[in-house]
Amino acid sequence: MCGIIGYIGSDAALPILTGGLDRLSYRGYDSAGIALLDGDGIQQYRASGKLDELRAVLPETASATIGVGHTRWSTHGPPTTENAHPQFDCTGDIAVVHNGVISNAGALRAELEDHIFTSETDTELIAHMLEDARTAGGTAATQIRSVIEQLEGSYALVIALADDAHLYAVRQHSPLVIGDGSHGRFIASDVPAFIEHTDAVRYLEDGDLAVVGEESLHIMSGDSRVSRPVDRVGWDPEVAEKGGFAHFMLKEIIEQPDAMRQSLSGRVDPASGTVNFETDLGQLGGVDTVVLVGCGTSHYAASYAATAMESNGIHAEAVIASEYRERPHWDTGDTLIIAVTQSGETADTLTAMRAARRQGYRIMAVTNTVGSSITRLCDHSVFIRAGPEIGVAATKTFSTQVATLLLFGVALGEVRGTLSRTERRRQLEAIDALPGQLQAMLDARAVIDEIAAMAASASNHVFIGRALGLPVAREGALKLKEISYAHAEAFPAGELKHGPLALVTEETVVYALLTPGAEPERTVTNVKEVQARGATVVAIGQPERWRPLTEWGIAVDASATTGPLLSTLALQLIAYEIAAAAGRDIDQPRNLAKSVTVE
Amino acid sequence: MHAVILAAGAGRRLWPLTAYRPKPMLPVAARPIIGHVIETAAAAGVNAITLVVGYKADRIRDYVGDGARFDVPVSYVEQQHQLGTAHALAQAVDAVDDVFLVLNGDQIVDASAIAAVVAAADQETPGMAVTSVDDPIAYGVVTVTDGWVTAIDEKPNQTTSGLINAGIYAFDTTIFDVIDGLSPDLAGELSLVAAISRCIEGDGVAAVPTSGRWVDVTAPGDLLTVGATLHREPAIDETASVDATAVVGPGVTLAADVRVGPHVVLSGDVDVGANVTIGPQVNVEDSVIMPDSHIEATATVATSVVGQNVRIGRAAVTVGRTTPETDSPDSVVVIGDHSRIGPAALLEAPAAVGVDCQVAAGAHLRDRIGDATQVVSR
Repeated sequence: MCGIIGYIGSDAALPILTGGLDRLSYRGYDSAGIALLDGDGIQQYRASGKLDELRAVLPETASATIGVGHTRWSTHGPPTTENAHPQFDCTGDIAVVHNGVISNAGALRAELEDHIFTSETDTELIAHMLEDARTAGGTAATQIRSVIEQLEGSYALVIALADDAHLYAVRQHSPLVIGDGSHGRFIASDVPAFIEHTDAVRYLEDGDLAVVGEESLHIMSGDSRVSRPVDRVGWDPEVAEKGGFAHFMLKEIIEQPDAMRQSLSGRVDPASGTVNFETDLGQLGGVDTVVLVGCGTSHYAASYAATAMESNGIHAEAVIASEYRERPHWDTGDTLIIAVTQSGETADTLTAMRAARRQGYRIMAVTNTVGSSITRLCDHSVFIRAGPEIGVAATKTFSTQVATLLLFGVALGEVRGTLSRTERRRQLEAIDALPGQLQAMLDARAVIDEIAAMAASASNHVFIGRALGLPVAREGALKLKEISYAHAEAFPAGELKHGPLALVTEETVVYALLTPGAEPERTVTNVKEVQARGATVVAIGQPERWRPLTEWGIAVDASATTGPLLSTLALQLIAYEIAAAAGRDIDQPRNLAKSVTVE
Repeated sequence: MHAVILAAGAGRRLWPLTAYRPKPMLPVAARPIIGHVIETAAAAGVNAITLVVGYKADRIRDYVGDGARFDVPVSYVEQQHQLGTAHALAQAVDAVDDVFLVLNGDQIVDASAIAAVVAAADQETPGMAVTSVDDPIAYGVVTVTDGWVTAIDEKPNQTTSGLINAGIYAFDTTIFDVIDGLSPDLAGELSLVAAISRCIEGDGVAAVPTSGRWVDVTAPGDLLTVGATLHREPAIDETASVDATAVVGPGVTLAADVRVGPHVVLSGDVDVGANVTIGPQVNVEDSVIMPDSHIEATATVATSVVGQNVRIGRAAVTVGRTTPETDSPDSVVVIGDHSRIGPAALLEAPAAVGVDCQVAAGAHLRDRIGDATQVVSR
């Protein structure tokens, strides 16, 4: 997703901006640009493709101490140099970088007939509108305000003006943060862009316009001046380094035992059968129905949790955020809607949750990102505490999302009285054992690597599972297709014979979830169905279950609550190895972005 | 100064603890040896580190990362096949220039010893740290004349020198030419000692006298004693929870998220790793328990090394031997990672259980059980 970095201060801006763009690159991008403000006006540098292409057109050094940079993920117009940001007005004295989508761009553009447009972006029209507004007199801030009042949609903007030693930052439904450093201020769409320089962060709110100077900071909301407090972010800058691993994704797969320990820390007490979230979650006693809203991997984590909550006696369903509709059968009085989003900035999820809030539901967030938009939208937030995840393919955040939601389900079962103490203890012991079991699976990696080597040449990958195994099958297929580009689909095991079985040939590898919690005794039949069509079967579960069926087995030692979750680790490693063998750009797969901040 | 730390070896003598982790990742005072090594090097003025990794390299990468937690940047080179210490160093040829240090990733030495070699490196390279020990025969004995090393002898039959090779070297890049000229020894390896011997025959090797702690782990039982040698203050992590009725002695270290149940007694030198659960009425004495393990109610763990993610069942007993006169561990019980010890099983020294084993309830073990074995009953 588009990334923004701006700097104003006493240091040279160029290395700060290029460093920021490097750190934003995990969001996914297909072109990039930088504008530097110096005594001669605004210098512009843009290129399509990777950041190396931009570096090729950048000077080695530049004296400018004010500038903006941008990584673009195409929505309006292809990834060309002309469509890269910054975008400019006709004079080249107004530079705009933008994350989001202007939904009334067509109508606004029609009113700017006498301007010369050089790109297909919705961003460029903001520069031209401001060019007109500047002729009206007043301060730059009021001129910018008059422009953004006409904009509809989502946008985070940073604007530089050739004759003005300030940067202007605007936030509406797209993330934007300001960092206060000792040698200047930073503006970015995400904290990692500048965290090597400062950990003092202000989160802008929707509707904010910030006038950012080296010494001064004025934040306006409407006509009134507001203050946004400084938060100290806990993430170490170096955390976002690969630490000797070939890819962030592999690093993040391998650090799952640690991430899980950190996620569970202090929350689980198996001895007493209680869960202690460190934050107040409000009155849960009246919650009869839980609706979990998310996209992609987060939706699969939500589906896992919904299935587990249902078996704990709580009505629960998982809804894909972009498919969220008002459902009359949910009662606003006893329904809790939970947003599941790693970044806390997922546009589809934010839109769904805004609708839920309007409808009067109680809303809660489960996210990895402190200070994110979703946490400010929701009544309560629970953090999964997995640490930063840089690889576009979610790994450790899936397992910690599921674990966190399982804990929440146990807490709810306690409050609702649907789970006995014995059952809560059993489930909490299982969850508590996850870090060690994740390590055990990592230690068995040689077996998994052999399976990946076998499966790398397959033309079709089919993942099957039941119950808790189904969302894991879906997550396994998603992981494989998103980073290796191989054809991978997941089906409920029982559905195979109702159609998808036609896909199965001798070139197909079928991954079967046979752990406790995935109704393995029933899926065994489906394994035999695909074997009869010549498919190779990879089975994950207890060895006594799969030994009679296939030589390609992965042992899982876990309970019915956590067995399918643990299996995800094996599927992540298989996807990684297959993609690595194919030489894919694993941390930044084509066409994909880490945090999808457009609908 | 830049340091190259050799951390590629497997440490097979430490089976089963090294089945899934390299020796530098064994815990001393509830944290990996490599952590102590890097911390000490940083304290001695090392400001950049290249780790040579090989066997189970991901465990080291995962723990050390880019070095941020030690405040020293860490880069990595890989030794694909473990063909000796000089071969390991040769992998770092592109990572260093000018003068650099070489340390062992599995030996904890005093910061003053590293600082002495750093200081000496400005005057003369190559140089090596020497230190005196009580029983030099077990180590690489060196002979020093007028400040120069005149002989180095790995594990000799007898010696008159009380000095040993302390495993800290200062080299310049010419050492890579020396390594290039080496021929493999009988084991097919290129050793750093052989390279040093070449240097002794050539322009000489400066001896840097050092003192202070020098900790080497050569057998699982050493893990029980070296923690105390470090004189590190035992610590209870703030996230550890200890029941009010539990008794925790002064030599106990508890890492993050450890849970200690009611009426537990932890005595002697006990190091407990992260996320370990110790159930009600368990006794632990002079033992190491690695992360994620679970000791169930009323079990006893004494003079034992328990691996990661091990489950010791209710009322099971694992008990090593101590020498009565010195009260020091003589023969320990070792349990490999991910193994399950059934309720009321009895493991007596020198019992050693491999990784991924299952020992049945009530079994009585006194010997060595290979990896992934199921012990039905004895």
